[in-house]
Amino acid sequence: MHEVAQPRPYIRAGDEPFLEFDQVDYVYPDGKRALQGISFKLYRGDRLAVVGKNGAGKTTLAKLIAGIYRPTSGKITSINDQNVGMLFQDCDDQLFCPTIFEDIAFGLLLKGFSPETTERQVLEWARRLDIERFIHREPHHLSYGERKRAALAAVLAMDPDILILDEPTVGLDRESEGIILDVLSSFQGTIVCVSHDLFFLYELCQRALVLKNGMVHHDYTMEELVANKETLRDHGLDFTFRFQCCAASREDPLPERASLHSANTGNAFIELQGYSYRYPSGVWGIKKIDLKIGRGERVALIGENGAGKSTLALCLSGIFKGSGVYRLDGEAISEKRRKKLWQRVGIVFQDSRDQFFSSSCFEEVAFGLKRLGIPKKDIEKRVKEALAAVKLDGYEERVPHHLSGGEQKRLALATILVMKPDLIILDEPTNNLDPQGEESLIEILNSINSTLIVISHDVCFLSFICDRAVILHKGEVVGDMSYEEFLRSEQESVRHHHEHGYRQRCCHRIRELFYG
Amino acid sequence: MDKIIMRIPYYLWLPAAGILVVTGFAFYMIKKARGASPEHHNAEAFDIDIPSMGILRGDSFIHRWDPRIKLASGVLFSFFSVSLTSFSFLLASMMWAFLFCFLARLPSISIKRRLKPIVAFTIALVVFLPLTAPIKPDSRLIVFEPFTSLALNYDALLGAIAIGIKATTVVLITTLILETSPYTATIMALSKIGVPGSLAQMLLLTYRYIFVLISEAERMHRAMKLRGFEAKTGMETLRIVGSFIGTLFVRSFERIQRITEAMEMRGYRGHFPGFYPFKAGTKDWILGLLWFAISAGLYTTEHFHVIRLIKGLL
Repeated sequence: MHEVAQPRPYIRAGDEPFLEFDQVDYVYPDGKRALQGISFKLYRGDRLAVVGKNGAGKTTLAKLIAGIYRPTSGKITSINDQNVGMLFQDCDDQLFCPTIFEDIAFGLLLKGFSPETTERQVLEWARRLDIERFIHREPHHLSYGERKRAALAAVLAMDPDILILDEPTVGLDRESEGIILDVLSSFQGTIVCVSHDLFFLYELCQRALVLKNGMVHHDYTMEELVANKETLRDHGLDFTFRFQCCAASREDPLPERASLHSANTGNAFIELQGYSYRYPSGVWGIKKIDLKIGRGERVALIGENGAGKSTLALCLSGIFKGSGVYRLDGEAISEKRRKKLWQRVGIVFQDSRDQFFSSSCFEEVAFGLKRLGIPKKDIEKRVKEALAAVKLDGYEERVPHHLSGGEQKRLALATILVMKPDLIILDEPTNNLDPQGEESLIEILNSINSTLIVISHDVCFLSFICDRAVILHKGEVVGDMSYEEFLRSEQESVRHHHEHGYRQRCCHRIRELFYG
Repeated sequence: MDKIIMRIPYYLWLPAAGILVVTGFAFYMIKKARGASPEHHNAEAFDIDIPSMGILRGDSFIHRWDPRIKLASGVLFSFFSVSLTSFSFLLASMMWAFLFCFLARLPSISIKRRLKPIVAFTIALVVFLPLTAPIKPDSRLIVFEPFTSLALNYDALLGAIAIGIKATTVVLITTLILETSPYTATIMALSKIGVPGSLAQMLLLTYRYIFVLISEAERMHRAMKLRGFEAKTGMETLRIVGSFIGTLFVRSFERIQRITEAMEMRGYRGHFPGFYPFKAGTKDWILGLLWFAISAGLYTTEHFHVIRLIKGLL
């Protein structure tokens, strides 16, 4: 356990701070104290990472810097009126106009720019974020990555002095992440970035503010942060398990798994033949998929935003009915069986909140068991076991919506695990998880015996769980290989496309710093 | 005494009814078969079809028409149209609306999508209104022999058809207005012709967030189905649906707060910016006057029996 008395103040010699927090407290209207005694200085051109466990007060601090919240006590001093822009975690909050063009133009027109200048600016930012093709489309017709880029374009078009980013990389594919990173790297102003993605932060920021329980515990340089294992461990940021992923050369060993599962690939547990699904809009979700998955196999479903990964998951769970052959455990899925698939297939959704509609964690986890007709006396036992399996013992009476992001993710997993399904599908399970939460999730998933399908952009996380990689592109399977093979081809591709290989680069640098 | 205006013998209505039933069944079977193919998705509980209004297709003179005058003309025309009573005038107003949809080269798919609920509504009216409308002493009836006690109210049938035509005309005009100007421009035009600005802003935000809300509800509903939820008649279902709606409400409320924060951060202080500077020229006014003349002309001709007067004079 490391000791923290007072965080060492960060001072930039010769520079005047242009934003200063002095003993700032923030208490939410419901009485919850989110921040306490926050003091730090922000300098022009600073690139500040705000890190800490889920619920440490990072987003609240970001909103105080943005001027959205006013401090309950303490003082925030700003030199001149700083123009602050903020990229919200959920880009749908930020795209409130009927078209992307109007969204980007919104702030510029309110600033008093002429329609001609506004149009020029909108087109310029759309070009830089590669969303020109969608400029006159409605936000709900775009993929998540495209929407995120559009939201960033709308913020950057306002030419902010301080740019605040709240979890900018969550749910993004590599292409969108690369575009966003390129644009942010050339941004001249100050950046404050709230994220759990330490590789991204290491590439973007020089300074790290570590929060715990609403207080500043450290004010480090990024190098100091990533080299300090004790601090990382104490703040749920220990991402050193990821070092195994950044193999320096082709010959380096691939990540070690906690347990290797004996998958029966001989007889297909899941079998799809020429399976397709088309959305009402006419867009193909998946197209003529041929896939066999053995019982107990752990498959990574990989592909860009909009590749059809979630659609395939919904078809496998019986929510969507496509055409073609679908067999589960040798049985063809008829209409009658499709309606009963929920008893055998469970999905943990990308946004855990989608799974909660009960007033307590107990009720939430017990919901599925009641539908399965499990006797009342067994329900209590199984709910307790499931909560314990995801390390949420004692959370029975807590309100699901009041839990932190990591806890919500684990609760969502418990709601599925309790039903003991044969197949579990996880959609972007690492979204919003701190590194400690990720490590704990890996541990939990490796202790499950069900067949697993994991949808994620996080190649490293997948390497700890999956044996096989199925790659989707535009609704079709374009690759199916062992995960080892996939990882090696990824490393090759990174070596050939240096611009997207920043994660590997960061990983090497951090590993060197870490081991001195 | 009820006035029976038509007696339909069984050898006429029975084959007609048979054909109707067979056609309906065939239509149902075709739809079912198509539903199983990937060309058509399976309907979900939250499959709400909201026509898209964001993308403009075409560049006709109607697309270039100033949205304020177009909107005012369309609203006025709709009011006059629904005031008409005779079939010839009702059909004339519907043809006018169709003509402009054709001149604007509106894609038939958007017209079909908007007319679909109206057609269903009209069919329901045509079937049920003649059977359920009270029969007055001077009511005209249609009788299907030999079931003389089962009579259709002929006046109610005509009323149902008239309602259908009026609804079709209004929907066509609405389609014309919404599909030939950007949605934002139409809503901004609304506020320019007297609709309170805050209401116009609410309409803008509603259109944007209805899709987000539907998607959220859809995801939650899927999660419920995947844990065995099946809507039944009973307290348990009511309790679950109550929790579902409550959760959706809380999430929407939280979203509203975040949207407000995002809007304020981009300089919003109670007003949306003027995305589309309106400029009305002579052509816009001439087109507006033409629409007004047609609307008022149809109404006055019918209301003051102008055709009968002219015939009388001749």
